[in-house]
Amino acid sequence: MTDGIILAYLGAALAVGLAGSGSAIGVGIAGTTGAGIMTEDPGKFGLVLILTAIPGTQGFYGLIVGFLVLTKIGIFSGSPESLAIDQGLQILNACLPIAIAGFFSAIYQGKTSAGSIGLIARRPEEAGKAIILPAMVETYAVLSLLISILMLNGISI
Amino acid sequence: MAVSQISKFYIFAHLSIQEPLIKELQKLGFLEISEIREKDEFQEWKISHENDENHFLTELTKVKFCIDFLSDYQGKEKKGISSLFIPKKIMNYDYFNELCQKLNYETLYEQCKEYEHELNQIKLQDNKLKTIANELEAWIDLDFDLSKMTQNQYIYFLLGTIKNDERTDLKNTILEKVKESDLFVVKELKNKSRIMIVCLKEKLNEIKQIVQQFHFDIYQYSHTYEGTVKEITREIDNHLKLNEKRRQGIEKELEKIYQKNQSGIHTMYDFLSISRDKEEAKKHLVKSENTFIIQGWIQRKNIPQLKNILQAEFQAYEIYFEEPRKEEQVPVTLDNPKLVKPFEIITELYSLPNYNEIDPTPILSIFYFIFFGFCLSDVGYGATLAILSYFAIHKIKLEGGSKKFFTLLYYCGIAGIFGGIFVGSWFGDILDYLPSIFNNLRIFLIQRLSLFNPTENPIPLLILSLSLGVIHIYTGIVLKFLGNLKKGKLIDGLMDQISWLFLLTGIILVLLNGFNIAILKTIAWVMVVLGALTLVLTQGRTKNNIFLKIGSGILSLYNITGYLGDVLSYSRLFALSLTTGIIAEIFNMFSKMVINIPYIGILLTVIILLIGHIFNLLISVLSAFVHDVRLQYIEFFNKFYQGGGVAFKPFGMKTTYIKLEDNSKN
Repeated sequence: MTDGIILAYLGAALAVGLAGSGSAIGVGIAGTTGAGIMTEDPGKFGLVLILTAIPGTQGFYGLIVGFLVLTKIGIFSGSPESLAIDQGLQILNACLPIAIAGFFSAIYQGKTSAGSIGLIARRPEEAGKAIILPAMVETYAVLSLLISILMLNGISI
Repeated sequence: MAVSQISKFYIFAHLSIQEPLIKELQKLGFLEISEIREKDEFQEWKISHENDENHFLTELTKVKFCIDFLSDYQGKEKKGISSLFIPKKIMNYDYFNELCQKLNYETLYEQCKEYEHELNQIKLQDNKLKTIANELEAWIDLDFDLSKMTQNQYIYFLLGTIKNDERTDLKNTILEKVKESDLFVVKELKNKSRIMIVCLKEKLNEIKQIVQQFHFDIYQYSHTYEGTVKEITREIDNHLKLNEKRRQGIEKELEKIYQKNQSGIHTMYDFLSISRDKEEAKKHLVKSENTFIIQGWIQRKNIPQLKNILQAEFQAYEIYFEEPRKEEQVPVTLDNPKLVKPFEIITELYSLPNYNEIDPTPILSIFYFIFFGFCLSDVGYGATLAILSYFAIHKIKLEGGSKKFFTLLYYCGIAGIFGGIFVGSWFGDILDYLPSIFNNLRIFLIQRLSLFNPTENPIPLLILSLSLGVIHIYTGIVLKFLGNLKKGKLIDGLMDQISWLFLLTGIILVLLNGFNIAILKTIAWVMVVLGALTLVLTQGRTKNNIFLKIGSGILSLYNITGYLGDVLSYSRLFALSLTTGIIAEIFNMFSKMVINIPYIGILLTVIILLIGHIFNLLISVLSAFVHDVRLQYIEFFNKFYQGGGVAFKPFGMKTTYIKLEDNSKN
């Protein structure tokens, strides 16, 4: 196994691990609030579920980048490419946007979702606005996913 | 199309027809009755406070109580999700009225009250018995008849708990200081003991003084207990079992009552709700000695029908219509063709338009459809969504709001199918796993039909996403311009919107290098300069200082960054399109990995495929919805839409359980 491969693995691990952790924290924050609201009004389950699920997407963005890395270095085809160090570093760098922005945006999205859940508890008719606010945070995760994908796509092996 | 035209109506009528007239209006169900505010014009009229609303409210509470109380005992098989989708019972209007005159729910209400009381009594008694049983359980080893202990004339039995290390000390002290007394251990626990101290009654105070010096907790047992602790607990057990039997009996009885009365109380509930609404409407009437006035709003398209019906049924009335005045807040309802109607949900979720505003729904529906298709972009998922919602609409026979919602989902599914064909995604890459006989089919579906392959070459799809964004934003600016035109502010429109269109188009052309056509390059620069110049000169026009005018004009150019951000925001279309496909591919690959496990391989494959794809479907639809809505609200509505309209709430027969049909129509 070459050094480059190790760096590529590190990249995939960071993308999946960090973005996933962020999502776990975010969903956790939103879920706690949601459970509290549902003790008062179990009928809000549908909306609460949607708002709780929204911070979960960063984990998937991380998974996607991790998966693209593994495909790129040929793990699934059974014969991993031999990568030079600089190629490995390129892949590692390409993973960083979604790893970093995924982690932080998921946490803050979780907080926003929790706030939105509070909003629908008091004013159910404002559901549209409540869903928009967490989606504002999501933008930055999508942007970083975009750049991660484009960077990966530009690396030639 | 768009925001429905609304007129104001006034009906003047003789008091003798008040009741039938209001009933008829409620049956029509397309008028909103509003309070009469113009006190000056109707000075000699009095607002009527006579109505029976409170009476119906009380009766409604009673019926509601019966329904809530009994529905807990409706038998197990009917609970669960399926009960949410029970369609309304269809009933003829006249039959409904007749039936409700005859229905009697007073006895049922009394019965329910009684049963509720009885159940509560049983529960209370159970709790009491359980507390006693819990207390006594600690003393189960005490083999004395408690009643004999309390009734003994000479001897006192003191029960309590003490720490083990103090026990011998206490015993010695008692034996030493008080004659004819003793201490017995009833049960020894880990570090404390339950003990019984026996003494003569007259020595009790001495004993109590001694005991106070130790850590001794007295257990005060009740004088009413009879028999040994074991006997008492057995008796309590029996009693509890008896209560349980009684409760089960009552529950069975209630189940029967529910079966028998269910449809009756449901019908009654709807009848009372309708009556209450009717009484509430009467609050808005004003009256003189012999006449009354109803005022309210009506959609213009319904005016002929209203006139016809009133003419056919009544005589002593006069009706006239009036255009809403400028300063009045006119209620808003949207009136779109059938195909566009479901998308009203998206507009309403944000806010209804003002009465004088353009309804954005028709244009929104086109973009919403395209963007949703982009985000979901999988033939398999789109088809699943479309089929499921189709069944929901036609099998469950949904009504009103939920029907509208599922129709929207149905359209979204179809959009997903188109998007999927576009990028060649069929449950991800599941076509690649088909046996080689299907090669031709696969080549046709993926290579011939699809226009993009984002995993191989992402740039074209990304550019398409951003271009759609530009079109979307341009549409928003144009709509704002049209809104200005409608208000007669052509000059404002030219300065605020058309100048921006010039500048933005110019910038895009410059960025694209004028498609390498010399003349276009020149035109592009001309547009940029013209647009920017107009903005600098006009955007500060509300300021009164010349420096502020120029300053805010120049500052307004800073908004270019805003537009840049808006356009980049549409890159989410590309990213979401990609994520659906890739996650599906991941699950497909996992499922292939386990297929060679002996015996259970195929089963595992199926399970992984099922769970994986259902999961991906849910999360993809969710993010498609969220991000699509976001683009509409933030990027699109921001450019032109105000909202803040008040919904048109027609006075009609709102029912929960029964769907009323008018026989005159049949």
